[in-house]
Order: sequence, then structure tokens, then C-alpha cells
Amino acid sequence: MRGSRVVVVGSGPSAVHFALTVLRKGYGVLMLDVGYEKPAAVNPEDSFAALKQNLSDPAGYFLGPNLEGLLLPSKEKREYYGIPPNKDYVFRPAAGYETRARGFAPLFSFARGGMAEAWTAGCYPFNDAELAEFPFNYAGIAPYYEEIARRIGISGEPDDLQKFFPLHGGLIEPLELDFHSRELMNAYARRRQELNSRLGCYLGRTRVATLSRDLEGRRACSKLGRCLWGCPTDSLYTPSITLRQCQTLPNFEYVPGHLVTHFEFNSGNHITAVVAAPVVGGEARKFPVETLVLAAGALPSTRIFLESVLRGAGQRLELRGLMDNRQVLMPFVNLNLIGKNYSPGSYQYHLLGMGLEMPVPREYVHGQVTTLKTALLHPIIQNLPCDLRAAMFILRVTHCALGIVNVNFHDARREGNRATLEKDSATGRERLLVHYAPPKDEAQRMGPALRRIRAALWKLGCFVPPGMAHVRPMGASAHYAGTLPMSTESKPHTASPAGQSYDFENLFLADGAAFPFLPAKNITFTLMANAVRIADQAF
Amino acid sequence: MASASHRPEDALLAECRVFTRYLVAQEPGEYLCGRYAHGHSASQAFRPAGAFDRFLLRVAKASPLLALLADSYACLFARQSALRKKLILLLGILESMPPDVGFSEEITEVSRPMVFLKLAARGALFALRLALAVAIFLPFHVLLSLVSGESGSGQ
Repeated sequence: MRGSRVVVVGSGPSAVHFALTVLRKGYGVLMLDVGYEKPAAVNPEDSFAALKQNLSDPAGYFLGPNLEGLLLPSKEKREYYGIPPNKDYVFRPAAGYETRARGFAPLFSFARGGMAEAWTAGCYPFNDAELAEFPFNYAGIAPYYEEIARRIGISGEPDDLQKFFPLHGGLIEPLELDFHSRELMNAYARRRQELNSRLGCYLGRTRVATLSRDLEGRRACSKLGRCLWGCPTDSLYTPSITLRQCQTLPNFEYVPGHLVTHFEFNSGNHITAVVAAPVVGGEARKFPVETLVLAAGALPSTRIFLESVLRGAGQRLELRGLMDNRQVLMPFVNLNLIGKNYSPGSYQYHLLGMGLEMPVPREYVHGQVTTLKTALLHPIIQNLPCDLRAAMFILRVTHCALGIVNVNFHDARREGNRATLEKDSATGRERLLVHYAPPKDEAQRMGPALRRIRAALWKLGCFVPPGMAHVRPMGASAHYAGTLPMSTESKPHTASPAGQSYDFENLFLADGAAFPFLPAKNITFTLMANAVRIADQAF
Repeated sequence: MASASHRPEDALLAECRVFTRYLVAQEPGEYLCGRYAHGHSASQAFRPAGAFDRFLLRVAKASPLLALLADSYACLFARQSALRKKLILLLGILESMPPDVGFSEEITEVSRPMVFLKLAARGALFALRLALAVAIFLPFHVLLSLVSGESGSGQ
């Protein structure tokens, strides 16, 4: 098998780390991808403030050429921030890729590097409790967490959150804390005992794939405050960096501009070819397959699987167990920092994490604490219940004191949450249909946890304005998983512990579709580690 | 044909001038005016949606002080009005620009009690403005909504 060619679908975190691992083992890799490209970084040395001074059309950069990034008042409850226009390529749709969803707002990315081109770099290993339904434990994946940490550079340190995130090798020193985050850590140090014992609440450093020192040609974070607009120095890791690394290797062939629709298989359920449609139109192309790896992201891989079975066997399957993290955004005001100037020369994303201990350890609740630094403020200002002039004054004096906790809740596989295909009567084409309903006890689960977070913030000197918590719709976290789970038992529509499909012996599932459980943590780090684990153990 | 003084771009320029003076107490430069006008040509969102919406905008365009009064009303009772959208468009452009010509966030740090005192004073002033704005605009809001059969502008 060594020396043969593996066809990998997608270029996201799972795909590129799978590819890099097998390439290093001597395999050839053909990667098929739509692969919309990231625009070139504008004035890469300029800080957020310097961009405003130096660009001839700063509003065009920050808000988009047609001000598409402007968030106007709306009847619907809006996010507190929007994806900036220069990241539109991450969510640009692919023609003919139709979906319909009930109870779920799915996000798709056809970008080179996938959805993680727009991530906030949180890297949280799953612990044994969270891996209980996986066919391996923490010890089984720890070497791969370490391998990923060495490849991408993860800054972090042992602290109270180690209780929830096992400490793996390969960490580099943490990023410097901004003023507000430092104040929160100081307050936590004073009230630690009380927060831990009475509220089961722990505060510590998040682990982030952002460099605190130079690594393999990438520079340490220079605190330009431009993370949201895309790190111009590649200090914040994105999968397109690893893709570029793969492209320097001789056995790697990258074919962008192609949307994989399905694979073909023979009567022995052996996959013979994969079919991809050029995104610019024209005849679909067929690529012969020895081994196929689906790593396009849980929902796109699910769709390919469903369409392949429909075309090849005439079966309209339903794949059950779709999961996603419910997220709640909880803004807060640190009363001790009102009236202070904020420091714009900081890493823009979260530097602190908040962990809530739960009676059932795998139901751990995780919060990412982001203090407000550089940002466009009009989405916040317009939500204050006063005229804009007064709102601007309020924001000026409270900017340094503002922050937000992005609270994540776990999800488990449930039969009712499923993906299937349906024929679109208008176009005659098959489209993905997603059904999702949250667990019946969701409100009872979320309410007490949010009250504990509110109480913990209060003890840290922070006030959560009433009515400002925003429950994001399902699908918004984009942590999708669970439709083709790994299992030790050979069952239809599952995969072996090594990620090998039990339905098609030369198919491997290397993305979130194969996860049997979804803890309340960003899954990207585990996606990467699991892809390397599969590449290492099965190839 | 519209006369030179009634061209839509002149009306937008005049509006931009009044609203900039209201928001940051400055005269807008060429870049800001150009971007403001471009925002209007790129989106239909800034068109008034009803009779009261048009009335509110007409009043606000008259002077920075009236813009303040109209915004005090709109911030609670017409949040999706064309006026609010136009002001937020302007704010978005202003905050993208250098602070000396846009929206400066620099503050003079003072003691915490003083900050809270300032906030309370601003709050009290806003309450007074709001009371005045409600007294002026609410009757028109109700009347124009009844006459035009709208359920309310911009809420």
C-alpha cells in the first residue's frame, strides 16, 4: 500500500493534517477541493490603528467595498460582531450546493483551508470522560495532540483549567495577557477558593494556536489587533498554512476548483472512483481511487456519502446522530475598569477560559472569555438604549471594561437529529436536508449553568447586563459531528476505530462525521489529532 | 430634471454634514461624504419605510440638535428606522477612519466616582431629551401610523 495514492476530499484541518502525515510516510496524495483563495494581506506590518491612517479607503477594508460588513439594526436578534468582508471567501457558497434545514442553520465553507480559516484558534484536548464513547482513550490520542501542537504551535500553560484539558506535550509559552484579562486573573486569584468550591468555576489561560515565539518561518504574534480580519503574519494558525507545506512535497497534487459530489463503487462495495464537478461549470471529472479519505467536514462528507449510496445502490439513507455545540454569548462589564483607556496593542481573541465543573464530567461547560480590544463598535453602540451620541460616550468610557463569554454546551448523538437527501422540485437536483431538535432538557441544563457563570463574573467584579445574553441558533458554532461515528462494533454507517468505513473497505472518515460524542469544546484540535491518528495507524 | 440645489447627491451631502456634526461635532471631509453617498447607492436599506419614517428623517436633517432629539426618540421607538440606519452607516464609516477625523476613543482617565457621576449626568440628560422627544414625536408617530395604516415605523 505504501507508495500508492490516496485521494483526500477537502482541505480543512482534518484533510491537511491527514495528508501531511501520509505524505511523510511515502504515500502520494491527490487532494480535491473547491478551494476559494484567501485575498492577499493588506499592509501586513500595520496595526489596526495604523491601517486607519495608512489606507486610502479604510472603510472599504473594514466594512467592505460596498459596506457589506456594516451591521444595521434588525428585527432579529443579531450577533455582537460580524464576519468581516475580507473573510467572505470562507463562507462563499458553491453553485449547485443546495441545502434545507429544520431547527439548524448550517454553515459551509469551500475555502482553501476550510471553515478553520475563520476560527479563533482555541485548542482543547478531550479528556477520558469526554472520550468515553470514542474507541480510544486519552492515552490513545495524546501523542497526536502533541504532534499537532508541534506542527501548528499552541501557546498555553498548566493552570486550573488543566482539570478539564489534559496537559499534552508540545505547548509553547502563553501569549501575553491584555490589561483586562490580567485584571480578571488577579481577581480570580483573590476569589479562587470561593469560586472553585461554591460555584465549581475555574478560570485559566485558553490554549490557542497562535505563536508566542517564531516557529518554522512563522512569526510570533506582533499584537497588531487584526485577528478578526485575518492574521497578516500567519502567527494565528490556519489550515491553509499546512496546505502550503503539503504543496512543497513531491507526491502531493492539489486540484482546486472541483466540488466532489459522490464516489462510485462496485458490487463488492469497493470504491473505484470519485466524481467532482468543476465549480466553473462543465463536465464532471472522474478520478480513479485506490483509497478515499473523506475529510471535507462533517456535513459535506455526509452529503457525499448519502449521494454515493443513492446513486450506487438506489438507497435514500438517513444518517442519524448529528451534533453541534449550543453556544450562548454573555457580554459583561468589569466595573473596576470603567473609565480606563484600553490597550489596542493586544492579541484580539480570547486569552482566558472559564470551566464549569458538572456532576457528570463529560457534560463540562466551557466558556471562552474575550475582552474587548480592537473592534468595530457600531454593532455594540446601536444596541445601547440611548441616542448614538450618548451611546458613543458610554462606549468610550466602558470599552476597556467590556468582554464577552462564549459559553459552549456539549451535545450527544440523538436519533431524531439526522441528515438525508431530498429532491429539490425546482431544480430537480438532490439537496441535503438536515433535521435538528435540541434535547428536551436543554433549558433546564443551560439555565443553572448560565446563572453560575453570571455569579462567577459578579465575584470577579463584572456585571452581566440583563437581557443581553444571546442564545445562538444551532449550527452557529459550526462544530458539526456524529453522522458516521467510529465504533468498535461493525455496523452499517459507522467506522472502525482506525476511521475505516464498515460499509466501504477502502473509505476512511477523517473528519467530525466520525465523532461519537461532542464535548463543550472547539473540536478543531481533536479533528487534526484524530486525522493524524488515523493516518498513522491505518496507513 | 431636478434643479442643482435639489439633486439627490446634494441632499445626501447636506444630510451627511448635519449627521456628522451631530455625532462627532466636526465637518465631514470629502472621503466621508463620498463613502456615505456610496453606502446609499449600494443598498436600499436607507430608504424610509413609511410616513413617520420620512417625517423623522426630515426633522433630523434640519439641524444637529434636531438630529439628537429625533435619535433620542428613534433609539427606543423606531430602532429600524431609516434615520437610525443612516446614522449607523455614518458611525461605521467614522470608526473606520483615523481618530482625528473620525470617532476617537481616547478618554481622559479620571477617578471612578467621577466616571460614574459623568455617566449619571449623561443618563439624566438623556432622560430629559427622551421626555421632550416623546412629547414631540409620539403624537406624530401615532397619527401618521393611523393615517397611513402602518403598524408603526421601523420598530
